[in-house]
Amino acid sequence: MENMLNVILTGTPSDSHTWNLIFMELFLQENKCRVRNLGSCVSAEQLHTAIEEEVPDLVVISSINGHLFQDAIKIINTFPSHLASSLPPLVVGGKMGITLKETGFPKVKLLKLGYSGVFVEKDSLVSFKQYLHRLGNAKSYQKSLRYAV
Amino acid sequence: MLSRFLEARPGLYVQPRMGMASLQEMQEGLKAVKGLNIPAIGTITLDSYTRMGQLEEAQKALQAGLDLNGFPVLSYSSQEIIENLCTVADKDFLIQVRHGTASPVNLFKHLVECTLFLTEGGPVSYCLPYSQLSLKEAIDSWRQACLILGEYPQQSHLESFAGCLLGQLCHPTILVALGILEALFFQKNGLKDISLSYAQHYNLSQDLAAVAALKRLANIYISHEISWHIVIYTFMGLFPQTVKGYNGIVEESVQLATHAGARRLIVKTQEESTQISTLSANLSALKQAHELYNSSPSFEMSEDKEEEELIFEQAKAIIDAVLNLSSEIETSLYKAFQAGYLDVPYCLHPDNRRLASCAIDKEGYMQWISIGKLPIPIQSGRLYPFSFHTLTSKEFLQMLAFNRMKFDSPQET
Repeated sequence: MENMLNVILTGTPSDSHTWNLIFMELFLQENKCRVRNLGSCVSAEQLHTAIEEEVPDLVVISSINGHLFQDAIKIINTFPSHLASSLPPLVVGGKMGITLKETGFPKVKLLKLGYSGVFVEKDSLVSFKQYLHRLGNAKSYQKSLRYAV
Repeated sequence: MLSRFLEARPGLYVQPRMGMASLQEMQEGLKAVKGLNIPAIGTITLDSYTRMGQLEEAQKALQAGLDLNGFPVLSYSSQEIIENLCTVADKDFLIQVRHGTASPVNLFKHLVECTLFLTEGGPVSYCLPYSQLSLKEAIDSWRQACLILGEYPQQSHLESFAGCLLGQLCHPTILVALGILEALFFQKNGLKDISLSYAQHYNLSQDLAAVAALKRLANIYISHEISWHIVIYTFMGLFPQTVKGYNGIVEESVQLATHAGARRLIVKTQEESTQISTLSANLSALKQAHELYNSSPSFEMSEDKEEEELIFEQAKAIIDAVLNLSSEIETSLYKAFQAGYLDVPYCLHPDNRRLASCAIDKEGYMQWISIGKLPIPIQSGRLYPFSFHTLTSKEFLQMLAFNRMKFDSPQET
């Protein structure tokens, strides 16, 4: 399956829930992704190491019951400099945090910091699916270019 | 001493999951449970900072007057705890500490100083679901922690949380086998008084069969010098949303506890699926469970002996294979996960192989989709009832909502 996306799926340091990660693993597999699921309570450092090992096409950070907003800021702000220049697309999804509103400022802030997608609304699964298809198409297109050369 | 306490007293004891941030609130909570004057055990549940060993965070939150999701036992001195909390306990009212810690050595040292000798957890059951700590480190920490409690054999009690692994969607064979293995771990490391847990799943007949198998295996494997009892947990997954649904699922958990011969029931409040429960919600849940137990008519339940036999045989095969891996239970447990002899479906811990998988069938029985490397004899026609080998994400969501659908649905009588 040449055109599959290699995805790292991970929870956040402040969320011990895993059912969202199991669901997301199945969902990603159904959408042509090969998934490495790091599980819950993953530290920023562990995630950095996994990205360095795997060189994935996409990193999906999912949380439903932690402080996703703060965790997402920490993850992207603490990438070691040698990784920061060649980062794969990163997206977050689930719930922003126990006391935060789902849209508006937090979402804009994360996009500005460099996240490629923030999927925290009710119908986000539909737009996430479209996002995955675009990314998959882009990967096959790039590959076809490479073959053409 | 909890098992011996219960041996001397009849009936089902009910217990909340309560934990408050301040000494005063925690004391009020314990007094309120005691004041119900029903057979109840008091609970001190720890906050997540203390559980994760982030003591500075707990301290900061306390100083800032912020609320915590439990009682930060390590942030108070043993003297403060003895004076304010242990004084609520007496010969008829005991208090158990519930914590969720994968490396509990420091915690147990403190608990013993506080004269809080009743607690729970386990080397596997508190490592795999919640912690990134390696199983090897958790096993070593739990061995030391058990030895600390074991120095007080008359006072101590340790409950294995293995029957509640992941809280839902676990095959009873795994819950039962791991319960016995953790009990043997406790026994080897000095405990004389223990309990075995089991969490309500999706079908009362299968749950009763599982607890019957668990008790038979406990009689075979656990030394006669050890006192033990069964504790049932009301369903821990996605809860019904209607009042009728809530009442229905709680009633079924009381029936499970009653007919399985359990001595304790850990209740769940109506609020618990969405937020930390208030004291009053905890008190009403305890009263309701107690009243249901008192009024529960002796219902005719067709026992599923075939299912009991199946779970018994599967769990026994796993236990024997695991014990054969080494003469030390600590090594056996670790090697068993490496070999896939123990394998917890849907558990993402790096030390879990994830080769075994299970799903809920139409009747609400947990059934294997794949047994991976589990050393289970494949002779029963019921081993693989499904036509599929992998779940879709949609089917998975439906499974998570199974009990919500079952108990909230208007057709349910």
